[in-house]
Amino acid sequence: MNPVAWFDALSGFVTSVIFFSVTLGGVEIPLIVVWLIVAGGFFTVYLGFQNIRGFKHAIQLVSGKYDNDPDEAGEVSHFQALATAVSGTVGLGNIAGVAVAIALGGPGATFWMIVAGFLGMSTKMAECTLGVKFRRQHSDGTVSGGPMYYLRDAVGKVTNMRFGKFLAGFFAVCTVGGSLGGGNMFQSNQASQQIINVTGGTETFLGRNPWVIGLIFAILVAVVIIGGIKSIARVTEKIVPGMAIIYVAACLFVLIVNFGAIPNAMVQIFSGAFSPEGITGGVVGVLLVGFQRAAFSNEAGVGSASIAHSAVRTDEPATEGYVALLEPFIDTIVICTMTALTIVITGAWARPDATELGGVQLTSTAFESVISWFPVVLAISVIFFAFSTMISWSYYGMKAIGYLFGDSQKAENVFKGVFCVFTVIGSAASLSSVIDFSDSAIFAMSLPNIVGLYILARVLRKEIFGYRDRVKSGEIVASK
Amino acid sequence: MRFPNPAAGVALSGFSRLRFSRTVHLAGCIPRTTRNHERGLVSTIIVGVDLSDSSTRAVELATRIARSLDLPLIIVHVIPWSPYSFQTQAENDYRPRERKAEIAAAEEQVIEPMVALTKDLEKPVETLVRHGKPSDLLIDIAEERKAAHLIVGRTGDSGLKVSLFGSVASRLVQHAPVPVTVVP
Repeated sequence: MNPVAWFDALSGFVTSVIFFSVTLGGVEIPLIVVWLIVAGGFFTVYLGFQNIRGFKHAIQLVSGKYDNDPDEAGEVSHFQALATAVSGTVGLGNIAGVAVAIALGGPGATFWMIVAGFLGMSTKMAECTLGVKFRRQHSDGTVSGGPMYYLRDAVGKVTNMRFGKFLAGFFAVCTVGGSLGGGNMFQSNQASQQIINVTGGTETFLGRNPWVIGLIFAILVAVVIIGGIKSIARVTEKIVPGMAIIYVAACLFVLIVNFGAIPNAMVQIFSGAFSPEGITGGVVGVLLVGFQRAAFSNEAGVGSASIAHSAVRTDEPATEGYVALLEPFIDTIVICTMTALTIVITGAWARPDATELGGVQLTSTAFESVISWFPVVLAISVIFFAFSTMISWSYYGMKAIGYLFGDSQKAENVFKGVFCVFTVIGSAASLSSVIDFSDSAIFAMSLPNIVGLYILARVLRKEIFGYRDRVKSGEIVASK
Repeated sequence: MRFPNPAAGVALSGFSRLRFSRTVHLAGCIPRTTRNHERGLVSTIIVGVDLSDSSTRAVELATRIARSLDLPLIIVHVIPWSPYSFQTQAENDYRPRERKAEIAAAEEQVIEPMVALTKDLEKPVETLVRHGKPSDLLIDIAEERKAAHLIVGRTGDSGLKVSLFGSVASRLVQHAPVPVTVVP
């Protein structure tokens, strides 16, 4: 059995477990998606709609209005923590995942993705506040944070130590899976697709041997994570924000060119959201597709971002919670919506072969209809997005391995090797099995994480409301 | 450790954190330092330094002025840093350690040799190492410490960057709320 066939079989099994579905009124409902929707809804209400009311404060924090301690200068700022976390989440989920959602659920999926992004802001706020509150400070000033720590230490204290350890361990194992799946294979798979796309299609050498592209990606990743060549990662990190801006600008250009089609697209999005035609499962079907792809893209409730946000320098955990709520906003409400509008407005989703094209190729087709050379630019941005997401997720995976194996260097090195192998497998496997496995692994992380969020909900609310009250009363003041 | 090259930072680009805008300065009419003298508050001489030769000359001049006016001298080094840069996970991770190392390197390679030049003063010299945008931070410190006089070298050690974005010295001359002396 070759590795790709082996992987397809494994993917089938894992998916059937994680995406356990119940059939309700003829619609198959994966419970895990309901799990994420309920969590988003709960924290939005429980935290008093901070995703709307705290938005302005979040912007003030990121712009440094509350940085008035000279001892903090030179440490990781709110802006830096957010930027790093965003570049980890802005990946192919925003370009390919959205296309998949619209191919499956029609234009109406856009509406539900935006709703999911909005609810996701609250879940993200919850997990990042806790990530900072329960992080561990080492003697050299560096920190380890993320769900592993709040699940083990805080949940363990509230319930019992063994349960806390179990959740944390479960989370860490799922993170390793998510790191190899959505954070690696899905990225390498879709980036390879787009490279093949612009270099002449499936009949070329690369088209027949996509693993070659995967191998090149794997070598580059290896150079960074095994070779420790930081400059490559550093350059990527500085290019990605520019790429995101180019991407959004290109989407806006497509929208402006098709200005007349905007009202009709809006009608399609709204009517598609509430009374879709020809979509399996009707409204519920569209809603599920939209939520699933949005959650995959912004990772709210998954817990990954909590690891990244924990690096910030602050004495107020709630501040990073506020900052983190901007992440699903940027990722889903801005970037994913742009992709969706582009696909809907150009009519690319209505092509008879839309479902087969799937993923990044559908997005590419949408752009091509307006700017003939844009698929090349898209390919370049896709390469950078994919690469930066891979680097970020290899880091999350490594943190999880570090947690599981007590920072064993040997275990981390084995993981790095395995990570690179999965990059190659991802490029050659079929999209559906890669998507299924990636989704399963990433969504599995939300099981222990959200259980922990519920258990710590009161601690969390006290932290956030306590902070908010001190800002209101003037105890915490802006410096400029 | 090699002293971190300021050119690697992005302090001079990016967003301005100017706290003391020109309008505030003009609105005051009388420079704050004069008022401080009138009130009899102790003023200071501040000298901003880096690795350059002109910094050496700036410290020598500052020492002479501080001695003749009998004012305390503060030597300040700013490590170029912007809170708005884009960093990798690993960079964020090691930041607290790097920051400490940067400060230690600055103390050893910039501050110590500069302090050695002030022995004529026969008085202890205060030193400060901070992260931030050099021109803004020097202005902040001058305000905070009620400086009578700010002294810097004309050319810093940041090379190309200066010719692209203008030097710290020229920014200070334009924006500082106290008299500035630029030493060639």
